[in-house]
This record gives sequence, C-alpha cells and structure tokens, in this order.
Amino acid sequence: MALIVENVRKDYPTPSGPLPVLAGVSLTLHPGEAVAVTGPSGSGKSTLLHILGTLDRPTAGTVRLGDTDPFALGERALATFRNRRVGFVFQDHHLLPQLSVLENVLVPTLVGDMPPADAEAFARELLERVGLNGRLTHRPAELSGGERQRVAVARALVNNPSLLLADEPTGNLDRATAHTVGELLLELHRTQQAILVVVTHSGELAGLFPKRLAMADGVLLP
Amino acid sequence: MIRLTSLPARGAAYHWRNTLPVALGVAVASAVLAGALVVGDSLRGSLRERALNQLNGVQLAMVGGRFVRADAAPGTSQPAILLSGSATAGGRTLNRVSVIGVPPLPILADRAVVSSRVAERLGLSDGNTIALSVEKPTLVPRSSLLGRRELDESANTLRLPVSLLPAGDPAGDFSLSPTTDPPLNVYVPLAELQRVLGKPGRVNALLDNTETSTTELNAWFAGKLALDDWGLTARVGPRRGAYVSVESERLILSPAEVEAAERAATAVGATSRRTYSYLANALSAGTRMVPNDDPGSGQKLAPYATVACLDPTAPTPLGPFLPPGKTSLADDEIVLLEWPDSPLNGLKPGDPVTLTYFKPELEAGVEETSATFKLAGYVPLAGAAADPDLTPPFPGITDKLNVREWDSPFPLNRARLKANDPSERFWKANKATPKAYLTIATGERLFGSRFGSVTSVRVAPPAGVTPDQLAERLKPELLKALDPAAAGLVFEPVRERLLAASKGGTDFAGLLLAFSWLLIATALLLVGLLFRLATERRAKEVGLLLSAGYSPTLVKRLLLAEGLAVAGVGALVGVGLAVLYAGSMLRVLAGLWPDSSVGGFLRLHVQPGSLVIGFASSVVVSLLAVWLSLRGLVTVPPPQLLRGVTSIPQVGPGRSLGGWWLPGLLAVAGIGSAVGGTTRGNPDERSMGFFFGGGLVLVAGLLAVRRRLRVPPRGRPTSPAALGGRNPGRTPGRSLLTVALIALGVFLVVSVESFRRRPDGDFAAKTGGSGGFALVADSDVPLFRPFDRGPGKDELRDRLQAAYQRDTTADVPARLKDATALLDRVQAVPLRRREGDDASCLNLYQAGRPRVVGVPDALLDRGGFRFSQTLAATADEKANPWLLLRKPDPDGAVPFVAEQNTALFMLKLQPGGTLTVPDEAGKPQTLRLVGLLQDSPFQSELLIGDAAFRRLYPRTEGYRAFLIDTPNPVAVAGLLETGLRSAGFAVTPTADRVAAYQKVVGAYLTTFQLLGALALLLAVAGLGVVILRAVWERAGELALLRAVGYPAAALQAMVRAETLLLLVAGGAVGLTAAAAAVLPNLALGGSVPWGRITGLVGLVAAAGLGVAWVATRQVSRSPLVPALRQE
Repeated sequence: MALIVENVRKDYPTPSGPLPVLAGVSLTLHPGEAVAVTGPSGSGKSTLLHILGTLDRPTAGTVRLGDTDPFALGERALATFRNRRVGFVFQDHHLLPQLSVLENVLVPTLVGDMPPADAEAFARELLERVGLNGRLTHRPAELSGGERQRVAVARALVNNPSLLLADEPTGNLDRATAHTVGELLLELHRTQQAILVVVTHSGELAGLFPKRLAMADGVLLP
Repeated sequence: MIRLTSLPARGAAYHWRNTLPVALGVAVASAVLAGALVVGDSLRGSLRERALNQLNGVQLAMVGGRFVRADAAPGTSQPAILLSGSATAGGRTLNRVSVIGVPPLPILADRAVVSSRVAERLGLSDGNTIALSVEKPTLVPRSSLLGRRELDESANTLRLPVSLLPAGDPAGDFSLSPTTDPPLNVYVPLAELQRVLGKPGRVNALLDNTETSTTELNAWFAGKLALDDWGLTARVGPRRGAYVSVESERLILSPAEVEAAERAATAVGATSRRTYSYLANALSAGTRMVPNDDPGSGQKLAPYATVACLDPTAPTPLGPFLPPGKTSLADDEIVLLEWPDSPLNGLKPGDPVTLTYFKPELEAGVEETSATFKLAGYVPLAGAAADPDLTPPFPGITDKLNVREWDSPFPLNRARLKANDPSERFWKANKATPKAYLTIATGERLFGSRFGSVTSVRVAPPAGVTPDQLAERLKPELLKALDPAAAGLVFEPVRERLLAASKGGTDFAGLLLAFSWLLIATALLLVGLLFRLATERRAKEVGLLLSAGYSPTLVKRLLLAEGLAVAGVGALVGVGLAVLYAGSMLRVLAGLWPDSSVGGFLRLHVQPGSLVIGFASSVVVSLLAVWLSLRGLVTVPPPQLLRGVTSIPQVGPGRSLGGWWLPGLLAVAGIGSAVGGTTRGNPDERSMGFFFGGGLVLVAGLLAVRRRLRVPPRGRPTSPAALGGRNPGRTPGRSLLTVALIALGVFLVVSVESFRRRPDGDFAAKTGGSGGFALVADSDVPLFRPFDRGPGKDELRDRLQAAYQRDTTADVPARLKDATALLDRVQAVPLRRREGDDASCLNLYQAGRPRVVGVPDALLDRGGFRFSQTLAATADEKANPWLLLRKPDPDGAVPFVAEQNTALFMLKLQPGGTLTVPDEAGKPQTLRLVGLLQDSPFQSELLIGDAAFRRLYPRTEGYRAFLIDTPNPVAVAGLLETGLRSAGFAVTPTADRVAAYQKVVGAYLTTFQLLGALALLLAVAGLGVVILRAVWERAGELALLRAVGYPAAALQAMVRAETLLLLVAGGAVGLTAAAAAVLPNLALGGSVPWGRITGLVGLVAAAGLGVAWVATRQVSRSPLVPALRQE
C-alpha cells in the first residue's frame, strides 16, 4: 500500500493575501520504507506531515494511500481512515493524564474495529516491546519524558497503521533517550512493515534513517 | 478496562477542579428552577392545608339559601346559622365578623365564644360584653313596597358576655370561603341567635362532615323539605273556602314558585289561575292623578284600595270578575267593585278611572305614579268578588281592624282616613277584598318587579274533590315541582370547591420562574463560559483524539457526555439547594406580601415531581449551554489544538466594525422613546415606554463597548495599568459577554423601578383612579336609604345625635351642627354587591365565584375613573366607557368591567373575553369583559350595570358598597363609621385601598429585584472567572514581565485595571440605560429609591473589587520558572 503524493500545495490565507507554505510537493513511499524529512523552521515540513496524516487539507494536489484518496472522504470516513491507517507521534506526547499507560495506548482502539481483548493483548505486547511492561498501570505524571514518548509510540502503532508519522518525536528528549526512541521507531516500523515518515531538526535522528529528504521554501529536495 | 463510554466520566473526575465550578453553576440554575417550582408547590400545598384546616372537617354545606327547619337536617349534618356582621366592644368596632350560631357547650350556654383574633382586635377578656350586629332576615323584600328599609329594621343586635377561644384553636379559623383573610369568628348560642332573628327552630346552614355523595344527600334533603321550609302555603281561604291558594310568606311568589304551583295543579288534575293583589293609594274618577299628599277633596276617590290583577274570565270558583254583558276584559279596562257607599259608584262604562300607586320596586323612598283605565263596568260584592282571600295575609296590614291602624312601611295619607267613613266600614266588613280588577298582563306591567308579579296561584278543585282534599293532594306535588337548587337549598361540595380554589389564582411557580430568568440565564451563561474554559484547557486532548481518528462529532459527543455528567451532578446538588432556596423565597414573599397573615400559613411543601422536573430541565438547559459553548472548538484543526489553540483567528478583511453611528442612533432613539413615554396617559404603557427606551440605550452601550473592544489600541501604554487596560480587547467576545451580563443585571434591577406603582398625581380627579371619590365604604348590613339625602340622612343624623348624647362631655348641638355641615357636602353613590370570592391579586386562592357589583345608572351617566382599554366603538362610549355596561351584547352576554390586573392576571381575560358566573338561582350566566379600569378601588370584584345586577340577583337587596365624594374625607369617615356602626360600616380612603393593591405589584417587583441582584452577583463571579482564566492563560506572559523586572505590584495593577475596566464598563452601560428608563418617571413626580440603588451599585463594586483582589493574589502566587517554561 504505497503513499503517493502528487504536486501538493498549501497556502494559508492572511490579510495580505495567500501565504504559500508548500509549493508543489510530490513523493512516493512504499510499505517498509522509512524517510526522515529535515529542514529549517518554516520550511513546511510539519505542514506536509499534517497533510499526509489528513490533519490538514492541501490547497491543491493529491495524496493517496493505496487506493484511497482520504480527502475525498466525508468527515466520518476520514476519521475512520485516520484511525485505521495512520499513526501519529508528536513532539509532545499528549498522553491523557486521567488514564493509565495501558489505557492511553488503547485510546485509538476505542473507536476501532479490533475486539477489545485483542486490542488489550496487542497494547500489552507493544508496551513490552517499548520496555514499559512494568508500568502499565502508571499514570503519565509518574513517567519520565522518554517513557511518555515510548507510550506515545505504542499508542501510534496500536491499530497497525499503514502510515506512521512522527513530528519531532525526540524534540523534547535528551540525546540518549532520543536515540533510543529513534531506534525504537525504526524497529517497530520494520516489524509492522508500515511507511514511516519522521520530520525532525535532529541530524542525529535523521542519520538513523536510510532515506533522508530536505525541505526548503515549501519544496522537497532530494 | 477503559471503554469509550467511560471516557467522559474519567475526564470529568480527573479535571474536577475545572468541572466543579461548572457543576456549581448548574447547581445554581437547578436550584432556582426547581426552587421556583417548589415555591409553587408550597403555595398550593399551604392553601390546601389552610383550606382543610379552615373547613374543620366539613365536606358538604348548605349555606345561606333561606332559613329552614333545623329538624329537616340530615342526621349527619350540623344545623347552624352563619351570618356576616359587625362586633363592638369597649368602643371598638370590628367589621366582617362571622357570627356563627351553633348549639353551645352547656358551660357556655349564655356566652359568645370569640376567636383569639377577635379578642385581640377588640381588646376582649373573658366576661366582657360584646355587641353583635347582623342583618335581620326579612320575609318581604326590603326593596318592595311592603319592605322595611330603616336601619333599625335591617339590623339585629345581640349582646352577650364572652369567653375566649385559645389561640390556634381550629374553631377560630373556621370558614367556608376561599380567602386568605383570617376569619373573625364569634360563636353564639344557636337558640339565642334564633330568638333575636325571630327564627325559632330555624337555621340557614347545614354542615356535613361525612363523605356522602352530594347527589345522594341532596336527594335525601329534598325529601325532608316541607312547604314551610320554602315559606309557601297551600291554604283554603276561610271566607269563601272554594279553592286552594298557593302563597308565599314573602308575599310575592317567585317565577319558579309560580311555575311549580301550576305544574302541581296540573299533576292533580286541577285548573289554576295567577293572581296579583296590589295596594293602590287611590282609585279616582277621571284622568287626574291624585298625589298621596293631596286629600283629594272634591273628587270621587277611594283611598287605599286593593286591586286584583287576574284572569277575569276564569270560571267559578276562581271567577268570573266581569260586569254583566262583558265576556272579556281588555288590558286598558278596569272593573270596579260595587260596594255600599262607594265614592266611585255610578260611573258609566267607558269613564276614566285613575289608579294612583307607589312603584313596586324601590330603594331610597317611595315613588308615586298612576295609570288611567276605561271603566268596563261593575261587579257586585258577591260570589267570586266577595273574597278577601284574594289578598294574601300580611301581618300589620290585613290583620288590622281598620286602615288607620296599619303598620305600613310606606307613608299613609291619614287625612283621607276618617273614622267610620265608607272605606273604613268596607275594611271592617271585607278586609282586603279588591275594589278593582285588572288583567294579569296589566298587573305585570304596572306592578311587576324583579321579585315577581304573582301573589297567589289559585287552584280550583276538580269535580268531587273538596278544597281541603285538594290542598292535601297539592302539597306533595308542589314539593316535587320545586327546585331546591334554584333556592339555594342544596348541599355544595365545599371541600372540593376550596381544594380547587387552593390551586391558586396566580401561578407563583411561573411568576417566580419569570422573575428568575435573569438569574437562570446568568447561571447558564456562566455554565457555558466555565465549560468552554475548562474544555479549552484540554484543547490538546481534543486534538489528540481527533488525530487518533475520533470524528469531530464523536469528540463533541464525548465532551457533551462529560457535560451531561457534570450537569447531572450539579443539578442533583441544585435540587437539594432548591428546597433551601424555596424556603428562603417563601420567607421573602411572606415578608413582602401586603397581607401579613399570609406568613402565618405559608409552609414549605415539596412535590417530588417538581424536583424531577427541576432536575431534568436544568440538565437539559445546561447541556444546551455546554453545546453552544463547544460550537467551533472541534472545527479547529487538530494541529492547532495540539498547540493549545482553541479558536481560529479571523483573517481577511472580515466584517466591518461599523462606525459609532449605530450606537449613537440607538441611544438617541432610546432617549426619545423614554421621553416620549411621559406623554402616555396609561401608566403601564408609560412604564413600557421608559423601559423600552432604556433597553435601546443598553443595546447602544453594548454596541459601543463591542466596537471599542475590537478597535486596535493606539499609542503606547504609559503604565502597567494602561497595559492591563488593553487586555479585554484580546478576548473581545468573552469581555463583551462579561460586560453585557453586568450591564443587563444593573439595568434590569434599577429600571424596573419605573414599574413600581403608586397612585398618580391625578388620582383624585374624576378621570383618575379614584373616579373623584375620596372614600370607599363597605357595609356588613345592606343599607336601603342613601345616607347623603332624605330619610337616610335624617336617620344618620339621629344616630349621630344619640352617639353624641352618650358622650357626656360632648356639646351635642355644636357637634351635630358641625356634622350636618359636613354631611351637607357629601355625595355618595351606593352600589349593590353580590358577595363572592375576592378576585383581586391580594387573594391567593382562585376566585371561582367572583364578587359582583352593580353600578347604578347615576354612575354610568356620570362617567369618570380611568380606563386602560375598552370595547368602546362610538364617540360617546369612548368619552364615557361606562355606557358599555348598558349596551346590549349580540350574544346575550352581560357586559362587565374589571380592574386591569384582576382581568389580565387573575381572570386571564382580555377585553371581549367571557366568563361564566352563577346567578342567584344557580344558573350559569355569561359575562363579557368590555373595559379595563386602572388603579381603581374595584380590584376585588366584577362590575355590571345595575339593571343586569337586579336581573341576575333579584333577592340581593340594598347597598353594601359606597363611593363617597367629600372635601373632608377624614372627618366624614369618622361620622359615617359612628353613625352607621350598627350596620358594620367601614370607610377607607380610596387612595389607601388602591395602594394596598399596588403593594402586591411592589412585592413582585422587589422579588424580581432581589433575584436580579443575585444574578448580578453571579455575573460578577463570572467576571472573576474570566479574569482568573486570563491570568492562567497569560501565566507565561506575566512571568516574562516579572523576569524583565516588573514588580508584583505592577502586575497586580495590570490585572486590577482589566477587572475594573470590565466592571465599570458594565456598570456604566447598565446605569446609563437605567437612567434613561427611570429619570422620565422622576420628572413625572415618581420617586427613585436612591438608597436601594446606591446599595446595589456599592454591592456590585465591592464584589468586583473582591474579584480583583483574588485575581491579583493569583498573579503574585504564580511560580515564575514553570510559567516561563510553559511559555
């Protein structure tokens, strides 16, 4: 199930006229591929990631994941698409403080089609794989920054997404922890044969990826 | 394990610090909503409790129809006499006293037992003597020729030593009327009261405590009634002994009694004829009327002759009364009796004969008139014509040996009565044998009145039946044919009636809900604001859920479910608080209500249904507020939500901010409307004009604030406070909402003052609320002779003289001279009144049978009083809407006028609307509302024309209400109360009576203001939330300022400036708008409660300063480093 991005443009309206952020981005990625996108602030990499994850709509161009053009879907179908096919890891972990570690991982499955028992078993397995099997009942407030981000990684993978997107996933972490999280992302993506796109400022994280792309002025450079 | 459905509860519980204020806001709304319903429950419950208490177990009652034998009472019923009267003791008089005759306890056999209320008001102790005045029952209508109208003949006085009932004794509260007026009960020994009234063995009330069916009891009671109870006889005349005559002890048979007698005659196979005997002052030859004060010398004249109106063709023994050769009698013909030495003997057929007589229906005094007939001929004094029994016996007249001995209530011309003259000889030999005969139709025309036009129904025995046998057969048939309901001889389900009335005339729950709308709206706006703020703090959570594939609809539902959980908890708490709130409101209402006795019986009554409705409705409206607050939040793109952004800033040119022209235009229009209101004559329309004008100024002010908030600030801030003053513009919607809440609260609370009513400046004028009458008066015993003229005035003067003579220190001639001078300048309008339920807003019970007043023609022609709305169509009707009471209704309804508040709020009627009231015979009569009075003293009754009144209530005689025009109201009130004390005459300044009614409106307004003030405090609390929220939102910014060297005091100044700016803006807009509403009223002579307004503004300012203080403390308490890190 390939990700095909063709000539995607994104403008933001401003009082002085449209502000182009993406100026025609095209990209094709196949299952099992992992790519790191780097670039300076304001280059458009986060906007690209949000469009790939259907959190934002392109002004022009198309995005297809397999046979599906997600932006042709209605609100409910788009949400289902995002739930089943896309996983997100953000710079800030965004864990729900009222839920335990295991419950946080299960949050996407609550609106999915996976049977609850299977979902819980898979969530436990993912948490074991990220090294948190001893912290299942802990609350986010009781975890370190790296642990929280590992929970966020497990949450992103719990629905077996075809596309795993990470926006500065190590931006809030120290160097050692960032390295661990980076390796974890790559290992899990390999295991699940998803497409992994990571946006980062970190050259060290980008260095872990076999394919790297740079963005500048809304254009993807090879 | 976690489930989708458990997410809302988990969220609400975890973020309890955010959700608690929301729940408290819901609790306030719920407490107010459910509390209002509980107040309604309490009022109904208290009235019901009071009704049951005052009935003292009575379920059914037969009251006031007429005096019947106590022996006729069913075994389950208590015979009693219930009368209204006045009580006097130690120089004090108490009106509207219930005098209750019951079989006494042996130890109280010779005493009056008075309730503690009566004892307190009269200053009575055990053994003191009380004088009770009650209306004397009469057989003959007092408004008919033979009725007695003097005050001494109208009232009976009973003097007894008293024993006191202990306070709280249920007997002290006994009453059958649905009114909140505490009854003033005096129990007297039944036999003693019967003796004084001249009604031995008779009662006018039967009280039944059993749960018997009304139909069954009435059927049984009807079977026990005898003709005696109806005041009817079926007698065989002693002189002729040829027929049976059905007669009434009231002299005149009512139409229903006549029909019953005829039906009874038919039932026994007999024929019957109606007869009306009337007393002519004179029968004279010629066409000239001979006035009663004219001796009539030189004219052929027979004084004081009975005239019989009947069927002159009736066969024997009921007739005939035709001269020889005549087979019929025309309506313009008269037949004379030929009796020895008759001055009228020898006239020729066709000669004119004039009949001079007093009009049959009278109130003030007799009025003589005449009618001239053609002589048809003579009948001899023999056979049917030699029959004194054609005239029913009448004590004081028919039992006297000669006319000179008559004890007549009308003036006798004694100059015409000479000893042993032919007339006296005739009387001695023939008593009241008629000297002339007319047709029954002529009799009805000349002598008919509202009481009837038949004095007897004569029944001829069929062949083979003797008159005595006929009488015995006729009596049971007559009893069968009589309708007890038409005579009031039926038991009524008084318990059922009072319980129905206890549902209340005013929907207090609805009223309180209406009064609470500002409080509820403020609480709900606060709920929405707080929920939105709480949700905004969790924007990242919303963003996460959206990015995890939760649809915006699902996210919204989850948040709504969370809102539902919070609202549920809040509403549950609120329902508990509702009971406390309702208790407080009841105390407030009892304190404000003009009738202080209401506080004595208002108790808290809680119906579970009300709590459920209050709970459910507050949850629903809170959820609506939450839903409105969430609009837009889930439309923010998830990436922005994940960054904590909760709204999409408007880009592009956007909507025009508009200029200042719109607020300016609205302000000018508002001031114009308020000033224009001063030209309105109708006070309510005037108040509406002021209020509307103020409302426009309020909108103008808020538009101006809105514009100011959205205009980018110019220039550099020169101080931290100036910097803080710019902050409201950063969240213009939130700031405007806060300003609007405060402004609206201030405006409403202050501006409703313009609705507070007091008698207007022109109240005393003829076209004002008083109609030009300085005094209104009520009389427990009806008066028949006007006290401002003629014999009534003489009687009043005599009574004043007697009262002055009892005062040994008084200079009687001087005082009497002064009194006469005062009375010479008194003009009174007497009004008939049919007692019923008080229909005014002072009576909390529902007025099922409102009091009805008959307006005399004199007042209809005079006009006056202020009408707010009428159905007047012609110029004359518009100039004098009273004329509408004489205008025939196309549907046959009786036109009536009522006070505006009574019609609109108590009767729920608009002009043109109809209602049904029972007439005297219990038949439903439709009344149509044709006009609304304003600020009149007639708020407790419906007003109909006097002619209609007499038709509907023919037996309700005399005058019980009076309008009095005098330049010396205080002195005249004293004179009248002294002179007419035995009638239970009570005088009230018209302005005082109207002011008492207006106090009810005042009580409502004060309640509204109280609730508005609570809403205002809630709005200030909302301001506090907004400011605290702003402080939290800007924690990083404030920390940065501290980091660059701003002292804490500078930051506090910033927050204080922001708080006070919003507070002052809201207060200023509200007060300016309120000024537009109130000041024109002031210019018209109204007063503004400056103290109350100053107190309110002070309270709001103090609360606002308190909020600012809390917010500034929060600033200095915020930790610096975490705040900076967050930024």
